Amino acid sequence: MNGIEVKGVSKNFGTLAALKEVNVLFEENRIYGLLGRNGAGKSTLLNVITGRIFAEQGTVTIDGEVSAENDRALKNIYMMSEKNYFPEGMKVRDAFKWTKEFYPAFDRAYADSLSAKFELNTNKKIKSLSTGYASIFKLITALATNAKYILLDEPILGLDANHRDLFYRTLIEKYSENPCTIVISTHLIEEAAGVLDHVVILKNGEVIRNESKDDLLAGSYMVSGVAAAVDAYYAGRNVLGSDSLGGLKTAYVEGEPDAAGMPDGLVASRMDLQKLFIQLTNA
Amino acid sequence: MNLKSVYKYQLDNFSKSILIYYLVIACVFGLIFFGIATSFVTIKMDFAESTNSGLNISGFEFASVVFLFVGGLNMFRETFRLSMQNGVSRKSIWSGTALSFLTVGGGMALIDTVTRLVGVNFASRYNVEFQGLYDLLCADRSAKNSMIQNAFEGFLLNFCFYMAALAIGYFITVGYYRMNKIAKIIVSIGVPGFYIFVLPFADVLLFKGALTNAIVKAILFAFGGTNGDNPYFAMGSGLLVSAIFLGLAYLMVRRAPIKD
Repeated sequence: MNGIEVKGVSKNFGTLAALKEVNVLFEENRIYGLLGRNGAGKSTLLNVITGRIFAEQGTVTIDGEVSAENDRALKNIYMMSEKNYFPEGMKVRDAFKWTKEFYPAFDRAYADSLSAKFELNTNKKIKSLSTGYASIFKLITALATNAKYILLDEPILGLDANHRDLFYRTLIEKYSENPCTIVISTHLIEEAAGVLDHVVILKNGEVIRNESKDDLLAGSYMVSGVAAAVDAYYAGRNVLGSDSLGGLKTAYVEGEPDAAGMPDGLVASRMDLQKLFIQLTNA
Repeated sequence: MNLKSVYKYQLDNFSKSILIYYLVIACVFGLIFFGIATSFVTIKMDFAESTNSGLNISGFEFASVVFLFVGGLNMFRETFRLSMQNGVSRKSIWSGTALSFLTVGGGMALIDTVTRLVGVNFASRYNVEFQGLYDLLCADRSAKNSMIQNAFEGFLLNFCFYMAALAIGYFITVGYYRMNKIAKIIVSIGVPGFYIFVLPFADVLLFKGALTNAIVKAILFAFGGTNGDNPYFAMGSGLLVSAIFLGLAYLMVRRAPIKD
Protein backbone atom coordinates (compact mmCIF):
# COMPACT_ATOMS: atom_id res chain seq x y z
CA MET A 1 0.00 0.00 0.00
CA ASN A 2 1.31 3.44 -0.88
CA GLY A 3 1.53 6.07 1.81
CA ILE A 4 2.86 6.09 5.34
CA GLU A 5 1.07 3.46 7.37
CA VAL A 6 1.42 3.50 11.15
CA LYS A 7 0.15 0.27 12.69
CA GLY A 8 -0.33 -0.25 16.42
CA VAL A 9 2.55 2.02 17.42
CA SER A 10 3.16 2.56 21.13
CA LYS A 11 5.94 4.58 22.67
CA ASN A 12 6.69 5.20 26.32
CA PHE A 13 9.05 7.66 27.97
CA GLY A 14 9.60 6.14 31.39
CA THR A 15 6.13 5.79 32.86
CA LEU A 16 4.57 8.22 30.38
CA ALA A 17 2.75 6.59 27.47
CA ALA A 18 3.42 9.06 24.67
CA LEU A 19 1.71 6.97 21.99
CA LYS A 20 -0.88 4.28 22.63
CA GLU A 21 -1.39 1.80 19.80
CA VAL A 22 -1.65 4.50 17.18
CA ASN A 23 -3.03 3.52 13.79
CA VAL A 24 -3.02 6.07 11.02
CA LEU A 25 -2.50 6.18 7.26
CA PHE A 26 -1.03 9.22 5.55
CA GLU A 27 -2.08 8.77 1.96
CA GLU A 28 -0.26 10.00 -1.12
CA ASN A 29 -0.57 13.57 -2.36
CA ARG A 30 -2.54 15.05 0.50
CA ILE A 31 -1.85 17.81 2.95
CA TYR A 32 -2.44 16.62 6.50
CA GLY A 33 -2.75 18.58 9.68
CA LEU A 34 -1.41 16.66 12.65
CA LEU A 35 -3.01 18.41 15.56
CA GLY A 36 -2.82 17.94 19.29
CA ARG A 37 -2.18 19.83 22.47
CA ASN A 38 1.30 20.06 23.99
CA GLY A 39 2.45 16.57 24.92
CA ALA A 40 -0.24 14.86 22.83
CA GLY A 41 2.42 12.85 20.98
CA LYS A 42 2.68 14.68 17.63
CA SER A 43 6.47 15.04 17.54
CA THR A 44 6.89 11.56 19.00
CA LEU A 45 4.78 10.11 16.20
CA LEU A 46 6.76 11.97 13.55
CA ASN A 47 10.04 10.88 15.15
CA VAL A 48 8.91 7.25 15.16
CA ILE A 49 7.84 7.48 11.50
CA THR A 50 11.26 8.80 10.49
CA GLY A 51 13.10 6.26 12.64
CA ARG A 52 14.72 8.86 14.87
CA ILE A 53 13.37 7.08 17.90
CA PHE A 54 12.18 3.52 18.30
CA ALA A 55 8.64 2.49 19.20
CA GLU A 56 8.10 -0.19 21.84
CA GLN A 57 5.61 -1.89 19.58
CA GLY A 58 4.00 -1.53 16.18
CA THR A 59 5.35 -0.89 12.71
CA VAL A 60 5.64 1.96 10.27
CA THR A 61 5.68 1.24 6.55
CA ILE A 62 6.45 3.68 3.76
CA ASP A 63 4.97 2.57 0.44
CA GLY A 64 4.71 -0.93 1.87
CA GLU A 65 8.28 -1.16 3.15
CA VAL A 66 9.05 -1.20 6.85
CA SER A 67 10.79 2.12 7.50
CA ALA A 68 12.86 1.23 10.56
CA GLU A 69 16.54 1.18 9.59
CA ASN A 70 15.63 1.00 5.91
CA ASP A 71 17.57 3.49 3.79
CA ARG A 72 15.43 2.83 0.72
CA ALA A 73 12.20 3.61 2.56
CA LEU A 74 13.66 6.54 4.51
CA LYS A 75 14.92 8.34 1.41
CA ASN A 76 11.26 8.97 0.46
CA ILE A 77 10.65 10.95 3.60
CA TYR A 78 12.02 14.23 4.96
CA MET A 79 11.18 15.68 8.32
CA MET A 80 11.71 19.27 9.35
CA SER A 81 12.00 19.27 13.13
CA GLU A 82 11.52 21.99 15.66
CA LYS A 83 15.18 21.42 16.62
CA ASN A 84 18.06 21.93 14.25
CA TYR A 85 20.07 18.78 13.57
CA PHE A 86 22.54 20.32 11.16
CA PRO A 87 25.93 21.22 12.66
CA GLU A 88 25.58 24.64 14.25
CA GLY A 89 28.75 25.93 12.62
CA MET A 90 27.63 24.91 9.13
CA LYS A 91 26.70 27.62 6.64
CA VAL A 92 23.21 27.54 5.12
CA ARG A 93 24.61 27.01 1.62
CA ASP A 94 26.70 24.08 2.87
CA ALA A 95 23.62 22.60 4.50
CA PHE A 96 21.93 22.78 1.09
CA LYS A 97 25.00 21.11 -0.46
CA TRP A 98 24.94 18.25 2.03
CA THR A 99 21.18 17.81 1.79
CA LYS A 100 21.63 17.36 -1.98
CA GLU A 101 24.22 14.69 -1.18
CA PHE A 102 21.66 12.74 0.85
CA TYR A 103 18.60 13.63 -1.26
CA PRO A 104 19.77 13.68 -4.90
CA ALA A 105 16.40 15.16 -5.98
CA PHE A 106 17.10 18.25 -3.84
CA ASP A 107 16.51 21.27 -6.08
CA ARG A 108 19.30 23.73 -5.35
CA ALA A 109 17.96 26.36 -7.72
CA TYR A 110 14.57 26.20 -6.02
CA ALA A 111 16.23 26.42 -2.59
CA ASP A 112 18.18 29.49 -3.74
CA SER A 113 15.10 31.12 -5.19
CA LEU A 114 13.16 30.52 -1.97
CA SER A 115 16.10 31.88 0.04
CA ALA A 116 15.92 35.06 -2.02
CA LYS A 117 12.14 35.23 -1.57
CA PHE A 118 12.41 34.84 2.21
CA GLU A 119 15.56 37.01 2.33
CA LEU A 120 17.57 34.21 3.91
CA ASN A 121 21.31 34.88 3.71
CA THR A 122 22.81 31.55 2.65
CA ASN A 123 26.31 32.65 3.65
CA LYS A 124 25.29 32.80 7.29
CA LYS A 125 26.10 30.08 9.76
CA ILE A 126 23.06 28.21 11.06
CA LYS A 127 23.85 29.14 14.66
CA SER A 128 23.71 32.83 13.80
CA LEU A 129 20.16 32.63 12.41
CA SER A 130 17.28 34.03 14.47
CA THR A 131 14.50 31.65 15.52
CA GLY A 132 12.40 32.76 12.58
CA TYR A 133 15.17 32.46 10.03
CA ALA A 134 16.23 29.09 11.46
CA SER A 135 12.66 27.93 10.74
CA ILE A 136 12.83 29.44 7.26
CA PHE A 137 16.12 27.65 6.58
CA LYS A 138 14.64 24.32 7.66
CA LEU A 139 11.44 24.93 5.68
CA ILE A 140 13.31 25.76 2.49
CA THR A 141 15.49 22.69 2.91
CA ALA A 142 12.44 20.48 3.43
CA LEU A 143 10.50 21.83 0.47
CA ALA A 144 13.50 21.64 -1.87
CA THR A 145 14.24 17.98 -1.13
CA ASN A 146 11.38 16.92 -3.39
CA ALA A 147 10.82 13.99 -1.05
CA LYS A 148 7.59 12.09 -1.58
CA TYR A 149 6.58 12.64 2.03
CA ILE A 150 7.45 15.87 3.82
CA LEU A 151 6.78 16.13 7.54
CA LEU A 152 6.84 19.62 9.03
CA ASP A 153 6.96 19.83 12.82
CA GLU A 154 6.08 23.36 13.94
CA PRO A 155 7.12 24.85 10.59
CA ILE A 156 6.14 28.43 11.39
CA LEU A 157 7.84 28.73 14.75
CA GLY A 158 9.10 32.30 15.11
CA LEU A 159 7.96 33.41 11.65
CA ASP A 160 6.40 36.87 11.40
CA ALA A 161 2.96 37.30 9.79
CA ASN A 162 4.44 38.20 6.39
CA HIS A 163 6.70 35.17 6.32
CA ARG A 164 3.88 32.91 7.50
CA ASP A 165 1.71 34.16 4.67
CA LEU A 166 4.56 33.64 2.21
CA PHE A 167 5.10 30.13 3.57
CA TYR A 168 1.46 29.11 3.06
CA ARG A 169 1.49 30.50 -0.48
CA THR A 170 4.79 28.76 -1.23
CA LEU A 171 3.43 25.49 0.14
CA ILE A 172 0.34 25.64 -2.04
CA GLU A 173 2.41 26.56 -5.08
CA LYS A 174 4.80 23.69 -4.45
CA TYR A 175 1.93 21.26 -3.86
CA SER A 176 0.08 22.25 -7.01
CA GLU A 177 3.19 22.06 -9.19
CA ASN A 178 4.68 18.96 -7.64
CA PRO A 179 2.12 17.04 -5.55
CA CYS A 180 3.44 15.18 -2.52
CA THR A 181 2.24 14.26 0.93
CA ILE A 182 2.78 17.02 3.45
CA VAL A 183 2.09 16.53 7.15
CA ILE A 184 1.99 19.76 9.13
CA SER A 185 2.12 19.60 12.90
CA THR A 186 1.20 22.99 14.28
CA HIS A 187 -0.51 24.85 17.08
CA LEU A 188 -1.55 27.71 14.79
CA ILE A 189 -4.60 25.81 13.61
CA GLU A 190 -6.66 28.72 12.39
CA GLU A 191 -3.89 29.84 10.03
CA ALA A 192 -2.97 26.40 8.78
CA ALA A 193 -6.59 25.29 8.30
CA GLY A 194 -6.72 26.94 4.88
CA VAL A 195 -4.11 24.61 3.41
CA LEU A 196 -5.17 21.34 5.05
CA ASP A 197 -7.36 18.80 3.37
CA HIS A 198 -7.15 16.09 6.00
CA VAL A 199 -6.88 16.25 9.77
CA VAL A 200 -5.47 13.83 12.33
CA ILE A 201 -6.06 14.82 15.94
CA LEU A 202 -4.05 13.26 18.75
CA LYS A 203 -5.07 13.37 22.37
CA ASN A 204 -2.98 11.85 25.14
CA GLY A 205 -1.17 9.62 22.67
CA GLU A 206 -4.28 8.38 20.90
CA VAL A 207 -5.81 9.29 17.56
CA ILE A 208 -9.26 10.70 18.26
CA ARG A 209 -10.07 12.00 14.78
CA ASN A 210 -8.70 11.07 11.37
CA GLU A 211 -10.79 12.35 8.50
CA SER A 212 -11.02 14.98 5.82
CA LYS A 213 -11.25 18.51 7.11
CA ASP A 214 -14.57 19.07 5.36
CA ASP A 215 -16.15 15.91 6.81
CA LEU A 216 -14.83 16.80 10.25
CA LEU A 217 -16.27 20.30 10.15
CA ALA A 218 -19.54 19.10 8.63
CA GLY A 219 -20.01 16.74 11.55
CA SER A 220 -20.46 19.43 14.20
CA TYR A 221 -21.93 22.85 14.71
CA MET A 222 -22.45 25.44 17.41
CA VAL A 223 -25.65 26.80 18.84
CA SER A 224 -25.81 30.19 20.53
CA GLY A 225 -28.55 31.92 22.47
CA VAL A 226 -29.97 32.47 25.92
CA ALA A 227 -28.50 29.94 28.31
CA ALA A 228 -31.78 28.30 29.27
CA ALA A 229 -32.81 27.88 25.62
CA VAL A 230 -29.43 26.42 24.68
CA ASP A 231 -29.58 24.00 27.64
CA ALA A 232 -33.03 22.90 26.56
CA TYR A 233 -31.85 22.48 22.97
CA TYR A 234 -28.88 20.28 23.61
CA ALA A 235 -30.52 17.95 26.10
CA GLY A 236 -30.23 14.49 24.60
CA ARG A 237 -27.67 15.55 21.97
CA ASN A 238 -24.00 14.78 21.89
CA VAL A 239 -22.46 17.98 23.20
CA LEU A 240 -18.70 18.51 22.89
CA GLY A 241 -18.67 21.49 25.25
CA SER A 242 -20.06 24.90 25.92
CA ASP A 243 -19.04 28.48 26.73
CA SER A 244 -21.04 30.93 28.80
CA LEU A 245 -20.82 34.68 28.85
CA GLY A 246 -23.31 36.50 31.05
CA GLY A 247 -26.73 35.05 30.27
CA LEU A 248 -25.65 33.86 26.84
CA LYS A 249 -24.35 30.43 26.03
CA THR A 250 -22.76 28.68 23.08
CA ALA A 251 -22.91 24.91 22.84
CA TYR A 252 -20.73 22.85 20.52
CA VAL A 253 -22.73 19.93 19.26
CA GLU A 254 -21.82 16.87 17.22
CA GLY A 255 -24.01 16.00 14.26
CA GLU A 256 -25.99 18.19 11.86
CA PRO A 257 -28.37 21.02 12.79
CA ASP A 258 -32.07 20.08 12.64
CA ALA A 259 -33.32 20.26 9.09
CA ALA A 260 -36.57 21.81 10.34
CA GLY A 261 -34.65 24.80 11.59
CA MET A 262 -33.62 26.07 14.97
CA PRO A 263 -35.98 26.96 17.82
CA ASP A 264 -36.70 30.67 18.23
CA GLY A 265 -33.87 32.62 19.83
CA LEU A 266 -31.16 30.13 18.90
CA VAL A 267 -28.65 30.52 16.10
CA ALA A 268 -26.74 27.58 14.59
CA SER A 269 -23.46 28.11 12.80
CA ARG A 270 -20.52 26.08 11.53
CA MET A 271 -17.51 25.65 13.73
CA ASP A 272 -14.06 26.49 12.49
CA LEU A 273 -11.27 23.94 12.88
CA GLN A 274 -9.65 25.64 15.86
CA LYS A 275 -12.90 25.82 17.84
CA LEU A 276 -13.66 22.21 17.07
CA PHE A 277 -10.12 21.20 18.03
CA ILE A 278 -10.40 23.02 21.36
CA GLN A 279 -13.69 21.30 22.16
CA LEU A 280 -12.40 17.88 21.15
CA THR A 281 -9.21 18.15 23.17
CA ASN A 282 -10.37 20.20 26.16
CA ALA A 283 -11.56 17.49 28.48
CA MET B 1 23.99 5.70 -1.60
CA ASN B 2 23.50 6.85 1.99
CA LEU B 3 26.59 4.95 3.11
CA LYS B 4 28.60 6.81 0.47
CA SER B 5 27.15 10.14 1.63
CA VAL B 6 28.04 9.46 5.27
CA TYR B 7 31.52 8.37 4.18
CA LYS B 8 32.00 11.57 2.18
CA TYR B 9 30.72 13.71 5.07
CA GLN B 10 33.02 12.04 7.59
CA LEU B 11 36.04 12.50 5.33
CA ASP B 12 35.11 16.11 4.65
CA ASN B 13 34.67 16.63 8.38
CA PHE B 14 38.09 15.17 9.10
CA SER B 15 40.02 16.69 6.22
CA LYS B 16 40.50 20.19 7.68
CA SER B 17 41.84 18.95 10.99
CA ILE B 18 44.15 16.47 9.23
CA LEU B 19 45.50 19.30 7.08
CA ILE B 20 46.14 21.49 10.13
CA TYR B 21 47.73 18.57 11.97
CA TYR B 22 50.19 17.88 9.16
CA LEU B 23 50.95 21.56 8.76
CA VAL B 24 51.95 21.60 12.44
CA ILE B 25 53.99 18.40 12.02
CA ALA B 26 55.65 19.83 8.89
CA CYS B 27 56.50 23.05 10.75
CA VAL B 28 57.96 21.13 13.71
CA PHE B 29 60.07 18.84 11.50
CA GLY B 30 60.98 21.77 9.26
CA LEU B 31 62.32 23.67 12.25
CA ILE B 32 64.17 20.62 13.61
CA PHE B 33 65.76 19.77 10.26
CA PHE B 34 66.58 23.39 9.56
CA GLY B 35 68.29 23.56 12.93
CA ILE B 36 70.18 20.34 12.28
CA ALA B 37 71.20 21.31 8.73
CA THR B 38 72.48 24.72 9.76
CA SER B 39 73.84 23.53 13.14
CA PHE B 40 72.19 26.72 14.29
CA VAL B 41 69.91 25.22 16.92
CA THR B 42 70.54 22.69 19.62
CA ILE B 43 67.25 20.95 19.98
CA LYS B 44 66.07 19.54 23.22
CA MET B 45 62.44 18.48 23.14
CA ASP B 46 60.35 15.71 24.67
CA PHE B 47 60.77 13.52 21.64
CA ALA B 48 64.29 14.57 20.75
CA GLU B 49 67.02 13.78 23.18
CA SER B 50 70.76 14.13 23.00
CA THR B 51 72.77 10.99 22.37
CA ASN B 52 76.47 10.36 21.99
CA SER B 53 76.22 10.53 18.24
CA GLY B 54 73.97 13.56 18.11
CA LEU B 55 70.17 13.61 18.16
CA ASN B 56 67.60 10.87 18.36
CA ILE B 57 64.12 11.69 17.04
CA SER B 58 61.72 8.86 17.63
CA GLY B 59 58.14 7.73 17.64
CA PHE B 60 56.55 10.77 16.03
CA GLU B 61 53.61 8.55 15.04
CA PHE B 62 52.46 8.65 18.68
CA ALA B 63 51.27 12.17 17.88
CA SER B 64 49.14 10.71 15.08
CA VAL B 65 47.75 8.06 17.45
CA VAL B 66 46.70 10.78 19.92
CA PHE B 67 45.33 12.94 17.11
CA LEU B 68 43.23 10.08 15.75
CA PHE B 69 41.97 9.11 19.19
CA VAL B 70 40.71 12.69 19.65
CA GLY B 71 39.37 12.57 16.09
CA GLY B 72 37.45 9.38 16.91
CA LEU B 73 35.95 11.16 19.90
CA ASN B 74 34.54 13.81 17.57
CA MET B 75 33.15 11.57 14.86
CA PHE B 76 29.75 10.64 16.21
CA ARG B 77 27.32 13.21 17.59
CA GLU B 78 27.34 15.72 14.75
CA THR B 79 27.30 13.10 12.00
CA PHE B 80 24.60 11.10 13.75
CA ARG B 81 22.28 14.11 14.03
CA LEU B 82 22.93 15.21 10.44
CA SER B 83 22.36 11.67 9.19
CA MET B 84 19.15 11.28 11.17
CA GLN B 85 17.97 14.58 9.71
CA ASN B 86 18.67 13.20 6.26
CA GLY B 87 17.01 9.80 6.51
CA VAL B 88 20.07 7.62 6.97
CA SER B 89 19.81 4.32 8.82
CA ARG B 90 22.09 3.72 11.79
CA LYS B 91 23.66 0.78 9.96
CA SER B 92 24.76 3.13 7.17
CA ILE B 93 26.01 5.71 9.67
CA TRP B 94 28.20 3.10 11.32
CA SER B 95 29.35 1.55 8.03
CA GLY B 96 30.15 4.93 6.47
CA THR B 97 32.09 5.91 9.57
CA ALA B 98 34.02 2.62 9.67
CA LEU B 99 34.93 3.04 5.99
CA SER B 100 36.09 6.60 6.64
CA PHE B 101 38.26 5.25 9.48
CA LEU B 102 39.89 2.80 7.06
CA THR B 103 40.59 5.64 4.65
CA VAL B 104 41.84 8.11 7.26
CA GLY B 105 43.87 5.45 9.08
CA GLY B 106 45.34 4.15 5.83
CA GLY B 107 46.03 7.62 4.45
CA MET B 108 47.74 8.86 7.59
CA ALA B 109 49.71 5.63 7.93
CA LEU B 110 50.96 6.16 4.38
CA ILE B 111 51.87 9.82 5.01
CA ASP B 112 53.67 8.88 8.23
CA THR B 113 55.52 6.03 6.52
CA VAL B 114 56.74 8.41 3.84
CA THR B 115 57.62 10.96 6.54
CA ARG B 116 59.65 8.29 8.30
CA LEU B 117 61.48 7.37 5.10
CA VAL B 118 62.28 11.00 4.34
CA GLY B 119 63.24 11.60 7.97
CA VAL B 120 65.55 8.56 8.14
CA ASN B 121 67.19 9.49 4.85
CA PHE B 122 67.68 13.13 5.79
CA ALA B 123 68.74 12.50 9.38
CA SER B 124 71.36 9.89 8.41
CA ARG B 125 73.31 12.60 6.55
CA TYR B 126 73.73 14.57 9.75
CA ASN B 127 74.52 11.78 12.18
CA VAL B 128 71.01 11.96 13.64
CA GLU B 129 68.94 8.91 14.47
CA PHE B 130 65.37 9.13 13.20
CA GLN B 131 63.08 6.33 14.35
CA GLY B 132 59.48 5.62 13.63
CA LEU B 133 57.09 3.63 15.80
CA TYR B 134 58.08 0.50 13.91
CA ASP B 135 61.80 1.06 14.60
CA LEU B 136 61.07 1.44 18.31
CA LEU B 137 58.97 -1.72 18.58
CA CYS B 138 61.13 -3.88 16.30
CA ALA B 139 64.62 -2.39 16.63
CA ASP B 140 66.59 -5.54 15.64
CA ARG B 141 64.24 -6.47 12.82
CA SER B 142 64.32 -2.92 11.49
CA ALA B 143 68.14 -2.96 11.43
CA LYS B 144 68.20 -6.26 9.48
CA ASN B 145 65.32 -5.64 7.03
CA SER B 146 65.46 -3.88 3.72
CA MET B 147 64.11 -0.35 3.49
CA ILE B 148 61.07 -1.54 1.53
CA GLN B 149 60.25 -4.25 4.04
CA ASN B 150 60.58 -1.76 6.88
CA ALA B 151 58.35 0.70 5.08
CA PHE B 152 55.75 -1.97 4.36
CA GLU B 153 55.68 -3.37 7.90
CA GLY B 154 55.86 0.15 9.35
CA PHE B 155 52.86 1.17 7.27
CA LEU B 156 50.84 -1.85 8.42
CA LEU B 157 51.81 -1.27 12.04
CA ASN B 158 50.86 2.41 11.89
CA PHE B 159 47.59 1.57 10.17
CA CYS B 160 46.60 -0.98 12.84
CA PHE B 161 47.44 1.40 15.68
CA TYR B 162 45.61 4.27 13.99
CA MET B 163 42.53 2.13 13.47
CA ALA B 164 42.62 1.14 17.13
CA ALA B 165 42.92 4.79 18.23
CA LEU B 166 39.97 5.82 16.03
CA ALA B 167 37.86 2.87 17.18
CA ILE B 168 38.51 3.48 20.89
CA GLY B 169 37.72 7.20 20.51
CA TYR B 170 34.53 6.40 18.59
CA PHE B 171 33.47 3.78 21.14
CA ILE B 172 33.92 6.23 24.02
CA THR B 173 31.96 9.01 22.35
CA VAL B 174 29.10 6.68 21.34
CA GLY B 175 29.10 5.26 24.87
CA TYR B 176 28.80 8.70 26.40
CA TYR B 177 26.04 9.58 23.95
CA ARG B 178 24.01 6.57 25.01
CA MET B 179 24.48 7.13 28.75
CA ASN B 180 22.20 9.18 30.93
CA LYS B 181 23.62 11.89 33.19
CA ILE B 182 24.12 9.64 36.20
CA ALA B 183 25.90 6.96 34.16
CA LYS B 184 28.16 9.64 32.63
CA ILE B 185 29.16 10.85 36.10
CA ILE B 186 29.75 7.32 37.36
CA VAL B 187 31.92 6.40 34.36
CA SER B 188 33.77 9.73 34.30
CA ILE B 189 34.74 9.39 37.96
CA GLY B 190 34.73 5.62 38.29
CA VAL B 191 37.04 4.61 35.45
CA PRO B 192 39.92 7.02 36.22
CA GLY B 193 39.37 6.38 39.95
CA PHE B 194 39.68 2.65 39.40
CA TYR B 195 42.98 2.95 37.53
CA ILE B 196 44.49 5.66 39.75
CA PHE B 197 43.39 4.46 43.19
CA VAL B 198 41.69 1.05 43.28
CA LEU B 199 44.03 -0.86 40.99
CA PRO B 200 47.36 0.28 42.56
CA PHE B 201 46.08 -0.19 46.12
CA ALA B 202 44.55 -3.56 45.34
CA ASP B 203 47.77 -4.61 43.63
CA VAL B 204 49.98 -3.61 46.55
CA LEU B 205 47.69 -4.77 49.37
CA LEU B 206 46.10 -7.88 47.89
CA PHE B 207 48.29 -9.14 45.06
CA LYS B 208 51.77 -8.03 46.14
CA GLY B 209 52.48 -6.50 42.73
CA ALA B 210 51.37 -9.54 40.72
CA LEU B 211 48.60 -7.58 39.06
CA THR B 212 50.97 -4.96 37.66
CA ASN B 213 53.30 -7.70 36.46
CA ALA B 214 50.42 -9.45 34.72
CA ILE B 215 49.30 -6.21 33.05
CA VAL B 216 52.81 -5.41 31.87
CA LYS B 217 53.19 -8.96 30.54
CA ALA B 218 49.85 -8.70 28.72
CA ILE B 219 50.86 -5.38 27.15
CA LEU B 220 54.24 -6.77 26.15
CA PHE B 221 52.55 -9.80 24.64
CA ALA B 222 50.06 -7.63 22.76
CA PHE B 223 52.85 -5.49 21.34
CA GLY B 224 54.94 -8.50 20.39
CA GLY B 225 57.60 -7.80 23.01
CA THR B 226 57.58 -11.39 24.23
CA ASN B 227 57.82 -12.80 20.72
CA GLY B 228 61.14 -11.45 19.59
CA ASP B 229 60.57 -8.41 17.44
CA ASN B 230 57.52 -9.72 15.63
CA PRO B 231 55.47 -6.69 14.48
CA TYR B 232 52.58 -8.89 13.38
CA PHE B 233 51.64 -9.49 17.00
CA ALA B 234 51.21 -5.75 17.52
CA MET B 235 49.36 -5.45 14.22
CA GLY B 236 47.02 -8.26 15.23
CA SER B 237 46.43 -6.65 18.60
CA GLY B 238 45.67 -3.32 16.92
CA LEU B 239 43.21 -4.93 14.53
CA LEU B 240 41.61 -6.95 17.31
CA VAL B 241 41.15 -3.84 19.45
CA SER B 242 39.71 -2.00 16.41
CA ALA B 243 37.27 -4.82 15.68
CA ILE B 244 36.17 -5.14 19.32
CA PHE B 245 35.60 -1.42 19.86
CA LEU B 246 33.97 -0.83 16.47
CA GLY B 247 31.76 -3.85 17.14
CA LEU B 248 30.77 -2.55 20.56
CA ALA B 249 30.15 0.88 19.05
CA TYR B 250 27.85 -0.72 16.46
CA LEU B 251 25.81 -2.40 19.20
CA MET B 252 25.29 1.02 20.77
CA VAL B 253 24.70 2.94 17.53
CA ARG B 254 22.05 0.55 16.18
CA ARG B 255 19.55 1.49 18.91
CA ALA B 256 20.66 5.08 19.50
CA PRO B 257 17.79 7.55 19.60
CA ILE B 258 18.18 11.14 18.51
CA LYS B 259 18.63 13.41 21.50
CA ASP B 260 17.79 17.09 21.73
